[in-house]
Amino acid sequence: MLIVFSLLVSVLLLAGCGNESKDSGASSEEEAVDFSKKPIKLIVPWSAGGITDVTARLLAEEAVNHLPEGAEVVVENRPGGTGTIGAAEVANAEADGFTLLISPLVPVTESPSIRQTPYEYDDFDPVLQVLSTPTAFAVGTSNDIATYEDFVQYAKDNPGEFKYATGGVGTLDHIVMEAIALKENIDIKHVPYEGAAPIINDILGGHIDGGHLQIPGLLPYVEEGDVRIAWNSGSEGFAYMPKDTPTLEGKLDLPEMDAKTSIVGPKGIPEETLNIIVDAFKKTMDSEKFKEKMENANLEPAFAGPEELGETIETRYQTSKKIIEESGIAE
Amino acid sequence: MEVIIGSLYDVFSLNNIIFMILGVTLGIIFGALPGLTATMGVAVLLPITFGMEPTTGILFLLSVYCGGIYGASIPAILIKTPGSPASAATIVDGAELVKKGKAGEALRATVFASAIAGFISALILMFVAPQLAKFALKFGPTEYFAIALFGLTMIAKVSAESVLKGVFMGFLGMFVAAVGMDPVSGVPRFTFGNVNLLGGLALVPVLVGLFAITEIFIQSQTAHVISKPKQTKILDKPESIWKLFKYWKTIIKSTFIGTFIGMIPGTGAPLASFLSYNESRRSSKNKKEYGKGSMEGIVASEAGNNGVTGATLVPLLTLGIPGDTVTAILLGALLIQGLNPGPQLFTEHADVMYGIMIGLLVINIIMFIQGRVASRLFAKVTSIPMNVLIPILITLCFVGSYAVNNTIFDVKVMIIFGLIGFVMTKLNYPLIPMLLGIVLGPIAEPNLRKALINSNGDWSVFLTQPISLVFVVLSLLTIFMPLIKQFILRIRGKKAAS
Repeated sequence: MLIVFSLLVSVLLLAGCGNESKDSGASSEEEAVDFSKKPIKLIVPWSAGGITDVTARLLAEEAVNHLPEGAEVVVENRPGGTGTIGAAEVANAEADGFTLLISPLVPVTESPSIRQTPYEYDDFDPVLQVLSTPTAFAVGTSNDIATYEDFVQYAKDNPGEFKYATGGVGTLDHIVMEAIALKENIDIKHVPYEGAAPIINDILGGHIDGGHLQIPGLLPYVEEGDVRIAWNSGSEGFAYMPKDTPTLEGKLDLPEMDAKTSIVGPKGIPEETLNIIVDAFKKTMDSEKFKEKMENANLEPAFAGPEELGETIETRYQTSKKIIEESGIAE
Repeated sequence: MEVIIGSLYDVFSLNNIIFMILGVTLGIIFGALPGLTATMGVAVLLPITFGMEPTTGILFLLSVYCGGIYGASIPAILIKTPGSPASAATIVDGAELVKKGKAGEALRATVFASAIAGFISALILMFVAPQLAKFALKFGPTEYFAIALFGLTMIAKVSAESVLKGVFMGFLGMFVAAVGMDPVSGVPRFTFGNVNLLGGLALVPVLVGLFAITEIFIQSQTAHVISKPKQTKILDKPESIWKLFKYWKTIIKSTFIGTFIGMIPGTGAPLASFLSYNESRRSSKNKKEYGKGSMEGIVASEAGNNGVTGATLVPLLTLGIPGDTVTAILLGALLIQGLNPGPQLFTEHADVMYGIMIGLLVINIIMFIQGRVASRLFAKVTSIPMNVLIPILITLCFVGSYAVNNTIFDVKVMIIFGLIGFVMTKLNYPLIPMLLGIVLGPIAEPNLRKALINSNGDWSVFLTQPISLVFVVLSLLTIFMPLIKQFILRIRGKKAAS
């Protein structure tokens, strides 16, 4: 009986020790990252269905194949306040790499200079850039304005008459137009809209003179001859871009003003975790499946790592801040 | 023509039919649960369609949408809680009909009205979409403001006893809608530094609070009294479908109102259902029945909101412009499927486009069949004792409000608005005018300001633009008609006397 008992005890002890050693071994690995413990939340600070949302969902779908085993990526929409609400949530989240923001940079680089936000632009860790999309100035074809010079001349001849639409106060589009107004010393009026769709609607219907917005959404109307792109405020080389579209190069003292859809996280994500995430998303962006889907949607993935994205954020913040202060569009 | 026949084959593939049936079922469930809306259903199910064929994916989402808009009428009738804002006009008459033991009849009438309206709306989309799209482009900020103004005049009609109380609630609703970032300058209003309020109060938690939670509070007052389930006429025998054709005038008129509202981006189903309800009341011989259990009233409201379903695709499919949240999500679905939305959709992807349109007709037929079955099942809800039903409903309300943005903040909003609704109901202040303010305020305000920026501050634009003028005149007529009528009667009376 005693023998049986002691055997049992020793077996149990052994088993216990075994468990213990296994535990300690695992935990030292887990300290780095255990991607299976909870899903990675990719927060989209805009409504479902937009370009950012579609991109995020495609990324999430494919990224699972490139992240460590057991990892999950869920997309959550947190719209409102021109992206500020979603951004605030990410800025305040634990910096463990499990809560990330995917958005054009506006809520990070422009909003803090425009309105009171519960975060600063440097409360975020850059993770990676996903898209770089040029933005353009578009007018209805009933208008005579065809170039930058035409526009400046028209605005000088008719002070206060030209009304242009953008996706909201303090968006990249608004900043570019304000920069032009400052440089050329012209008086134009800004009308904020809820997004690209209503702007295009009102340009087509002749309810607004022009609009500054991302190019992909405009292309079908340009091809039909209903809308004219006067200039591209961003970079060249966009595959779907009409070849002869002029840029603002040499006309305006601005850095490249493409809309950069990027992933950022709360400040202080451990480097090892960050590397795994960046690596996985890079592989995702390189995958044929993702590329094909993006191409279908007239979007061009443009990867940039944390360092390059960090520089973009810094430049964008400083440039926009200067324009916002000079033009007095902040609250 | 070949394309259409090809699309016909495509639509009637087994795969598509199965997904449409499934979609309608899911839609009805989403619509019927208070707090979960058709929009939410479409958003949640969007990722599932990534792997599907374009036609199948879009038809699946459209089934969810149509089913959802119809499904919202079920709780609106049975438990006086609209499943989504689009069915708010149904609740008063619906509740009265249930009291009269006509729950089953009311449910069947709304299925019929919803399906017919959806079907006609889909036909309109098929045959006159391009022409409609051109007309819809004439609507700019000036016109939107005028139409919202017209919508707001309905407060007078839905205020029950006191117009003054109704107007007060309307203003309260517009005030609630003003919370959040100023639509023009971007300045935060009434946010008290709370980030969650920057985007404004979400519609669903406010609505669930005002209607569902309020109703739960009211029912809870008597829930401890164990009442015998009213078994009487609830399971009344389904009458012949043909009997429902007596509402054909109301249904057709409401469908056209719904189609009109649907094709204009940025307006939506709630406005359509209110306008339809109001118009059917205006032209009805039995005005007094309205608000006291009018079958015609719920038929009008439900035909109005389903009339939107086909028409809302007009700007999306012809111009590539989404008019509301649902179509914005559909736009995302089109993008993922590699169909670049825009004016070229029809020329480049005619097969898919016709597939969608034919499919939409089929969806409405499926919805009718499922709705008939569902209404028989759902009618039994009225026989569930309140002390069982209330905890279930409360749970659903919490889940629904939480699910909008995955935040507890929205749940708190729901509870607060539940209290507001309860107190206001106790004080005899009607809640529907408040809803009108909440729904129409965000259309009226930004468009008024945009229109005034465009006109350099000149208010006369609202009278010089023809479409806007029509709606301003209609609004004035709605407000002053009772006075004018009285005046005419008095003059006639005098003439008769002399």
